[in-house]
Amino acid sequence: MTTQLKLDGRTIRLDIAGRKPALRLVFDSVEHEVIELPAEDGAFELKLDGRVYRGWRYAGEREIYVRLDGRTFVMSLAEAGGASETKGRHANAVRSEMPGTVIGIHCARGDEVRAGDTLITIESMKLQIGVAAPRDGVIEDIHVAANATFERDALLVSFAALAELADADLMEKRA
Amino acid sequence: MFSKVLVANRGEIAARIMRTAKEMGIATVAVYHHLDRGAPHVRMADEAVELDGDVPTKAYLDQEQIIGICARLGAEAIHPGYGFLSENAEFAERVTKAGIVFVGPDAGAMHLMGDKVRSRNFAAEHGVPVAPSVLQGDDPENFLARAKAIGFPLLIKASAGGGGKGMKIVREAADLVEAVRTASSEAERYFGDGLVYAEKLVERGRHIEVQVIGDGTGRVLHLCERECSIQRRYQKIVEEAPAPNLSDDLCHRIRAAAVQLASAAKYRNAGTIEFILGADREFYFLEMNTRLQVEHPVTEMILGLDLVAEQFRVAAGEGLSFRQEDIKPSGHAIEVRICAEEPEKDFRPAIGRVGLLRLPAGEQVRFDGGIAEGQAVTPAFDSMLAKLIVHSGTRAEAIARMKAALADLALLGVPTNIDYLARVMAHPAFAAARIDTGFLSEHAGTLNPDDAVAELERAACAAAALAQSDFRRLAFDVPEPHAAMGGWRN
Repeated sequence: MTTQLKLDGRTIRLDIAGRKPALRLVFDSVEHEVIELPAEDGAFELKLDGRVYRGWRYAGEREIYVRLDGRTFVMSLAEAGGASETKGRHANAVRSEMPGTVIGIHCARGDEVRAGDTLITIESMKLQIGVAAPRDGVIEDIHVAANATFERDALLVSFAALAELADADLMEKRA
Repeated sequence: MFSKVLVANRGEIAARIMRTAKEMGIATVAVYHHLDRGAPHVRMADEAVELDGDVPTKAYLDQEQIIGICARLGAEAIHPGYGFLSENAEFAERVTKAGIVFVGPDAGAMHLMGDKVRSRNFAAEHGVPVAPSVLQGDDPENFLARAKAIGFPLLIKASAGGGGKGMKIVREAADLVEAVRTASSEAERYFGDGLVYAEKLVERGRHIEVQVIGDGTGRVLHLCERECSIQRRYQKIVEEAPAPNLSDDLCHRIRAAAVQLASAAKYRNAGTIEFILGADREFYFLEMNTRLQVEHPVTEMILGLDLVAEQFRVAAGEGLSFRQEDIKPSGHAIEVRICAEEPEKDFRPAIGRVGLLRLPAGEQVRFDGGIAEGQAVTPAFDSMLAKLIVHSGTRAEAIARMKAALADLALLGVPTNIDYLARVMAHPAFAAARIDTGFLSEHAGTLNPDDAVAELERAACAAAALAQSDFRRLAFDVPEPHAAMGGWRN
């Protein structure tokens, strides 16, 4: 009975505790009464624990945008089940967050890099942006060429997997 | 006056130019890349012609095609807006040769001001203060040594540049070589000319600019100054007029320097002379923009005039419709630039789709936009989507009005800097007008979003959940026992 929303990197659990006479949602094990009031297209109006909130919302393909009290909340539905792609310091793949063009490549296959090192420079929306290494590691491969264009989510650079590295370390120590 | 003009631009500025053209009874022609099909500027125009070409920005830069369309449809003038072809002297020349009026200065003035080095030398020759600098082109071999001799910090800039492209700050001699290399390569890529120069960096400077308008005979009027110090990536995001906390004397000297420069160039059209003002109250010429500026609305709001209309009048040979003594600023105006970007991620540009757009209403609130609901925000164009401008009696009132207007603005479906701009407006240092070009980085910590009040966040989450049809079915449609057994996202 749980839905999970991701907001600013946090996962917020939301359960339906009951629906009659009014909808009751559970946030952090506390029940709250939610009454939806009629609103014009794109707007919403709800009464939460007796207090009225009015705002706008838009459900896009990936995110739900809520504008409330001069603040924009961008939420996504958390993946059900296990973790999706490993991210952050365990990431093996560096993907583009938007389409663009490769302007410069600052690493080579087999290079050891530190987290934060600029791996490649891309250009998107007339801006040059450095793509940084998400973690320390060894470059396994570079999947784009200079001046190549790529789409959102394209694989740019891959890292040698950490486990393999550990294995390699072990092998070296054994040798 | 012209009976038909072609607007060689897109987005908010094309729409803004067409608004004035319509008011003046001038028919409008839009040109557009197919990505912009259905964009407001296309719908507003009396006639619209799709440009051939796959690369969107190249289409808007296709001189031959645009001039051809103009001739074919019988438009007598081309308004270039800002960016794209607006400061391209060759284009102005070709337009003129084709017997069409270019709504801008003559090619000579564009050529003079289009090159940072040439314009800087011209300014110095006419008694306008310029910052100490050295040019790579003068003596390339000794450029690094000559740059070091000015002293650090230095600013490395593209000779042909603008908009922060190819611009680097160097604080130590050790970083100079790399900065010159990257600045030069960026300059080469953006402007086709890798020459750079080094200039004394005025730290904690304020970006002050003067709006001028000239009739081409040497008669130039100033239209007061603007404060544009709130910048990220060397690009302005907040502008205001008049500039706060300038003494009458300083104000007078800066305006006089601007008029002097533009008069010496016998400047025709609206133009902007940018200065950097140091904490020591010394100011230096930065550059002159020979076009309508993005932030022109703040000037319009305090003076109650329409700069685009004045541009059309001057271009049509009708001269200026007012005298210097008619220029009497009233109140205070602020503009913020609404950009598709993520301020928390180093202002990285963002893409998406404008799913919902609701505009603030009210007295002296102006929204200059070029986007419509449903329109995609693509990486093909600049990330600026619109501008929100307010005017009020005092600066404090204008800030309050802007805060309210930003709160009433909803642009959902793509990440924007709207909340960030609201935090700038609410910042005590901004309220106190303690601003310089380092404002956003200096206050980065206090400009971060604070945690939302728990109740507000709960309401937002409930609203988001209820926007999902799956959740609604579960919450409202399914009989109680089934809901309890349902396996929805466990």
